[in-house]
Amino acid sequence: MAAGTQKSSLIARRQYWGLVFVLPTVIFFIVFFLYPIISGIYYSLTDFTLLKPPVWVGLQNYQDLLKDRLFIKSISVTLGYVAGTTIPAWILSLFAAVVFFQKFRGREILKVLFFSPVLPSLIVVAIVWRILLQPGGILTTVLRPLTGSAEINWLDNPTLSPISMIIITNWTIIPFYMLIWLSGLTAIPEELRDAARVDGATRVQSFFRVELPLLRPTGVFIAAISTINAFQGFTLQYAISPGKGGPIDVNTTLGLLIWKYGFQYYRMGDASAVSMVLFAMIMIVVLIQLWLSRSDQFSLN
Amino acid sequence: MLKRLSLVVMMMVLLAALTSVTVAQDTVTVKLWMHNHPPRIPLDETLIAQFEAENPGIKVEFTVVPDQEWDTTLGTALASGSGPDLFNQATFAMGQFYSQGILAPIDAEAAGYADAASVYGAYEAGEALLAGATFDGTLYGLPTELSAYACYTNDALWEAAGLDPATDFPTTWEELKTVAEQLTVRDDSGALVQRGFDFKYDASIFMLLIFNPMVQQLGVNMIDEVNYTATINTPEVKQVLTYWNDWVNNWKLGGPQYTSSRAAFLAGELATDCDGGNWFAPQAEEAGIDYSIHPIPVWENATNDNGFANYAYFFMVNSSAAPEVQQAAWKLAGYLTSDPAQYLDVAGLFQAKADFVASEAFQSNTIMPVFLHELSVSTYHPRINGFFEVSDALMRARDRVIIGGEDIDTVLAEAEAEVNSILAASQGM
Repeated sequence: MAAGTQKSSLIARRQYWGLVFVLPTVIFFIVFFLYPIISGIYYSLTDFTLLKPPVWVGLQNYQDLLKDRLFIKSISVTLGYVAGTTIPAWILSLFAAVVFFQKFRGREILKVLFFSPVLPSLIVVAIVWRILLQPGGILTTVLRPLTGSAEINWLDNPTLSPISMIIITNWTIIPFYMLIWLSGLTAIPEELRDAARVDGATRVQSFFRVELPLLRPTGVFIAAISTINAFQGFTLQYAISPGKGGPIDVNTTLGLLIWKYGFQYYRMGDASAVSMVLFAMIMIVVLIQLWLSRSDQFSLN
Repeated sequence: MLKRLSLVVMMMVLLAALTSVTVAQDTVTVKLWMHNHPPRIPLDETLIAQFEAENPGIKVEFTVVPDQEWDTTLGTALASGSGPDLFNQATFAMGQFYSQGILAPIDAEAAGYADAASVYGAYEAGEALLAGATFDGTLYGLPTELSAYACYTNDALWEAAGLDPATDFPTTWEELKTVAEQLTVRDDSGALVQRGFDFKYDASIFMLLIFNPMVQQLGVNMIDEVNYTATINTPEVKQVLTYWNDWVNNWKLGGPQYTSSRAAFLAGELATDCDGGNWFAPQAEEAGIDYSIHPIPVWENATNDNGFANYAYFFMVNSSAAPEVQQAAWKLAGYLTSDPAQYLDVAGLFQAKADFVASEAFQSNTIMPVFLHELSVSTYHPRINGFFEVSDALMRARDRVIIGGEDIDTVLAEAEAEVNSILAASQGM
């Protein structure tokens, strides 16, 4: 009995100290994550101009969003940007990783060069690309033998402009995802490839039948973070698109719309409502991704 | 003996503590926020130090906020109750600030004037130039910088085209097109390498600073800031938008796809730029450009001779600050606007004090009379709630025509409906 009491007191003490140790993290989470989320939900239910105290309006902001032409356009812009920067990035970064997984002369130098777009901040990247994408700029000159045009409106053409954003984004993110794929490829034991080879598999068969299934957790991870990042697209559109989101709003992503509503139009209630919609969209898409990729066979068995 | 000494020490400590409490209670701290304009910072710092020395009861906490972060930082600070007591605010969002009750009316006496009327009297064309911070007959600010645009010509490029800016500079928009064609240079492939003139397309506020004044020259104001209504679907707006559209698509003299006008002018790729204030002159000089300055053109069928819209930065006082802090803030604002000659000389900022304008220093300035003329013939941009939302809607309409190639009548009708809807929604904000 005494031993039992002693044991339970030890557990209680351990639990107490455990709580003490996790407390800073819990407080950090409450202050910097939970509180802003709850505040965001609250503000989305208010008429809040930032300069005056919020006034409770219930679901009015959400109802207004359904009739808001700019919001509806932003959803389609965001979905286009997400599609353009996740699927190609996933495939091309995997391809790059497979290439760099091979042994060839100068591989390390090429890898460093390939990875270099990740290093500068997105604002620096935006400025460089802005110069490259001048109507009569370097890119136009390089492509002139193919296009025959002396001037191309890369950023001011409503069709070309979102495509330019997608290309620039892919240029900056593919090397980073490549690195993640590469670490996944490196983690696969060489014996499995050898076994496949002994069984008569070609290198392509070995990749698709052995390596790719084992890379599934890496693939899910990349799909999830690239989707989240793409949904939150803001910096590039803010820095490079004409009139911050133009022309004619073709680059007004939901992230940019939140900034405009909140800090340009002083419609913080609407901005919070858009934030909640964006949060829900990201949540749904990521949950679907996780559900689709659920499997118990991630292990090397 | 020791006991007595201890008692004396204790009393001295107590006295010192009480004194410091009294001093702390008597000292008023004014939080001053300025946007980042590097040339004025050392001058502000010097004057603030002098002000503190002359007013030992007032302490100034001086903060410079980067331009890009100004709106966000100020908005969130005001929302959280940690905003500045005195801040230097552009007129663009002033309608919003006024209607939200952020602004305190001027305390003329604290600012060093006999009364509010004498503030207007102390400025050249005070009623007109202080109109940017006047609401319902009450003044809410003291100007730190009054701006109007004029046209800068790159005289070397004009001369290379066989033109003399002094005599050939156009007085009408119609003539400007002819001159711009002469100044435009293309390479063998037809690509523009030098533009004669171009508009400023890159930010939506220029729809209210440049486009609307061109409509005003024809007798129509697109935005009625008193009644919160928009008049956009009119022949006058169509005339201006058609001119802009022709400029880009038919005459191919420029467009939003090219380097922004100011940057292009400084790079020597644009012969004429009509969106620079007097503050642009040092930048042109630094870029090594030999320039001259000319008034904004008007239409041949103009009914008004206004230039582009006036805008300004004003010292504003936070209405939620304690009364003694507000008083100290106005005193500081008055002090920092009491030396217009230095601010123009060192920082290129124009504070139109009447005695300064009458001075030899101002009258002998080679460029300022042109800007004063532009300020005097023009009016402020609309000071409305939803200024940026309306600007964005107008820019969208412009781009639908110029970039999207949509039918101008349809776009103007839809833009009028959209802007009226924005104004209706923002009026009560």
